[in-house]
Amino acid sequence: MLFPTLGFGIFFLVIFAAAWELRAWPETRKAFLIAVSYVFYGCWDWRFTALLAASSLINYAAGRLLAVTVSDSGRRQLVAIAIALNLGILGFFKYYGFFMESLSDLLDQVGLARDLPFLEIILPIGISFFTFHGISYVVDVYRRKIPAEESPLDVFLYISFFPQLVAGPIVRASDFLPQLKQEPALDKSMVANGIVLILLGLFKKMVIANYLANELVDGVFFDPSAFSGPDLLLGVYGYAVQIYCDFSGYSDIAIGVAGLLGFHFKPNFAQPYRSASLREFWRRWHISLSSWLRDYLYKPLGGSRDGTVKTYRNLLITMLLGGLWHGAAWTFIIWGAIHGGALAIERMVLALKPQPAPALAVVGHGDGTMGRVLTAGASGGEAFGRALGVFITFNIVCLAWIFFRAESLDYAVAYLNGLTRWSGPVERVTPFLVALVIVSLAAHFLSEDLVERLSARIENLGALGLGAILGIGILLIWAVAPEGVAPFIYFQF
Amino acid sequence: MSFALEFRRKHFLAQPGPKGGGRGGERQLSRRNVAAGRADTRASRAVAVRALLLAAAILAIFNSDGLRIAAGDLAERGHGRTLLALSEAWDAAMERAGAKAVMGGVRGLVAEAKGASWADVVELVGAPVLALTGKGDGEGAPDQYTGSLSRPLKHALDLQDFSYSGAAGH
Repeated sequence: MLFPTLGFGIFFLVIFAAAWELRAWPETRKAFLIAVSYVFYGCWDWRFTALLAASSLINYAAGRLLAVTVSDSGRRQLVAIAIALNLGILGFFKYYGFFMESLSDLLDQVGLARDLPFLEIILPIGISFFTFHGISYVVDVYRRKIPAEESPLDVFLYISFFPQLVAGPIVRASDFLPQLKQEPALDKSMVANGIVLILLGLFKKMVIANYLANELVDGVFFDPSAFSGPDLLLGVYGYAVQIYCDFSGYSDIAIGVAGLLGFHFKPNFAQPYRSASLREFWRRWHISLSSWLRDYLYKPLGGSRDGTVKTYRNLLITMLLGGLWHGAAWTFIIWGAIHGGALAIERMVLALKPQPAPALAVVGHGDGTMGRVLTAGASGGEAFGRALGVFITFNIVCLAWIFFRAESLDYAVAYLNGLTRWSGPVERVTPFLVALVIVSLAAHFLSEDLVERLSARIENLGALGLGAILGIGILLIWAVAPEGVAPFIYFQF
Repeated sequence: MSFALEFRRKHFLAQPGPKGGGRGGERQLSRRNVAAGRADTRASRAVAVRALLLAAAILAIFNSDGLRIAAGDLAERGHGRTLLALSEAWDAAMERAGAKAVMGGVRGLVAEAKGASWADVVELVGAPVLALTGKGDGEGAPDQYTGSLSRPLKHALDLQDFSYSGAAGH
C-alpha cells in the first residue's frame, strides 16, 4: 500500500477516526495500531508479517532477559546474541545471494569453481528499517537509556508502526517508547503541521521525483552510452534531486501521518544540498540513519577518541557499512567508500588548515536533530568560501550518486565516460527539466523553518480552511503529477 | 540565608502552588491542565476529521476519474463491481457538471510547459523587451508570440477554449 494512493487515503481516514476513539483505552489503542500496521505491511506480502512478528518477539525477549540479568558479562553476551540474530535475519534475506555470487566469482578466479547453494530469496520490504529499529531497542535497553518493556505491545508497536515501517525514519526506541506511556494528545498545531507535511511530501514525490524519474533519470541511467555529456550531467543532478524528493517526501508524509495520530518524529532531512561540507551533509541527509550509524557503529568503534588514523579508519568502516546497508552490490560499497574517503580527506584538510572564527557552524543536538545554524556576519571572502564548499560538496555527493543509481559497476563507468563526451545531440536538457532541477535545488536555500511557519499560518483556519487546503492541494498535485504511482526508491532497501 | 539552606528549600521542601494552594492546589491545577488538554485533543480531532472528510469530498467531486480508476482496479480483482458502476455514473455526472475541466485545465498547462523548447523560452523572455521597444504591435504580431509557452496564459484566462488532447499521458 503506497502513501500517495486512494487506498491509503481511505485506510488512513478509518485508522485516524478509530485510533482517536480508542484513546481512553491505551492498550486497546496499541493493539489496534499494531493490527493495522500488520495489515499495511501484509498488503505487500502476507508471508513476511511472520518475519516482522519474529523480529519483534526476539527483541522483546532480549529486552526482558537484559532486565533480569545482573552481571555485565551476561548482559554483553545477551546483547551480542540479540544483535547477531537481528543481523543474521537481515544478512540472510539481503546479502546471501550477493555473498554467494562474490564467493563463486572468487573461486572461479582461483580455479576452485564449486557448485554453491544458491537460493532464490525475495527481499522483504523494509527489512533494513525494522532490523535497525530492533537493534536500537535492544542496545538502548542494554545501555540503560530505556527500561525493558514489560508489555510486548509496546515493542511490537515500536517495530511495526506503519508510518515508519517500510522506509523509515529510523525512530529511536528512546524517542518512541516514552510516547506510549503518555496519554495521546492532538492540538491544532499538530493537525496543521501534519497537513503541511503530507502536502509537501506528496508534491516532492508525485510531482518532482516522478517527473525527473520518468522524463530524465531512468532513461539516461538505462543506457548512458546513448546520451551526450550535457544530458548525463543533467541526469545526475536530476537524480540528486529525485532521490532527495522521493525519500524526504516519504519521510515528510510519514512524520505528518504519525503526527496526526499523536506521535512526534524528528525531522529526517534538513535541506541537505545547502551543505558546505560532507560532514554538514551527513547532519542534514537521512538524519535518522546517519545518527544511528554514529551512535551504534562509529562511536562503539572508537569514534574520534583513539587518534587520527583510527578516526579515519572508523569513518571509512562506518560509511562502507552504511553503503552495504543500502544493498548487496559493489556499487553501494563504492558509494560508501566515496563518502568515507571524502569525509576522511575533508577532516584531514580541516585539521591542517588554521580555523578562523566560524562564518557558519551547524550545531547538532547530539541526538541527530539539527540545531540552530549560526551565522556571524560572513564577509565576502567567507561567503565565497561557503559557496565554493556547497558547490564542491554537491558535486562529490553527485559523483557518489552515479554509483548508487547505476545498475552495475560497468554502467557507472560508462556514465562517467559519457560525462566527458560533449559532442552529439542534446535530448534531455529541456527547459522543463532544467527548471525542475534548478528550482528544487534553489528551494534548499529557503528558510529552514518554512514548514513550521506555514503550519502556524494555517492552524487557526478551522476545519473548512484546512479541508480546502488539503483537498485542493492534493487535487492540484494529482493534476500536475505524471500518470501512475511509482514506488518509493527506499522501499528496495 | 546560607547556600545549603537555600538549596534545601528549593529542592527538598514543598513549593507553594501558583495560587498558594500547596499540594492540593497543584493537584487541582494539574487536573485542570489534563482536562484542558483532553478538551483540546477532542476539538483538534473533530477539526481534523471534518477537514479530512472535506478534502475527500473535494477529491471525489473534482477527481472523479481517480475514483473510477480505483474502482476499476478493485473490480479487476473480482470484487467491487457495484462500486465500479457507481463510480462510472458519478464520473459521468461530474463530467456533465464541468467539474472535470478543472483537472484537465491544469494538466493542459503542465503539458504545455513540458513541451516547451528553448526557442519558446527565448521568445517568452524576449516578449517584454519586444513590448517595451514597440515591436510586436500591429499586424503580424501574434505570430511572434505563438510559442508553446504563450498558450498556458490563454488557458489560464479562458478555460473554455481548452483543447488539450491528453497527450501528456493522463
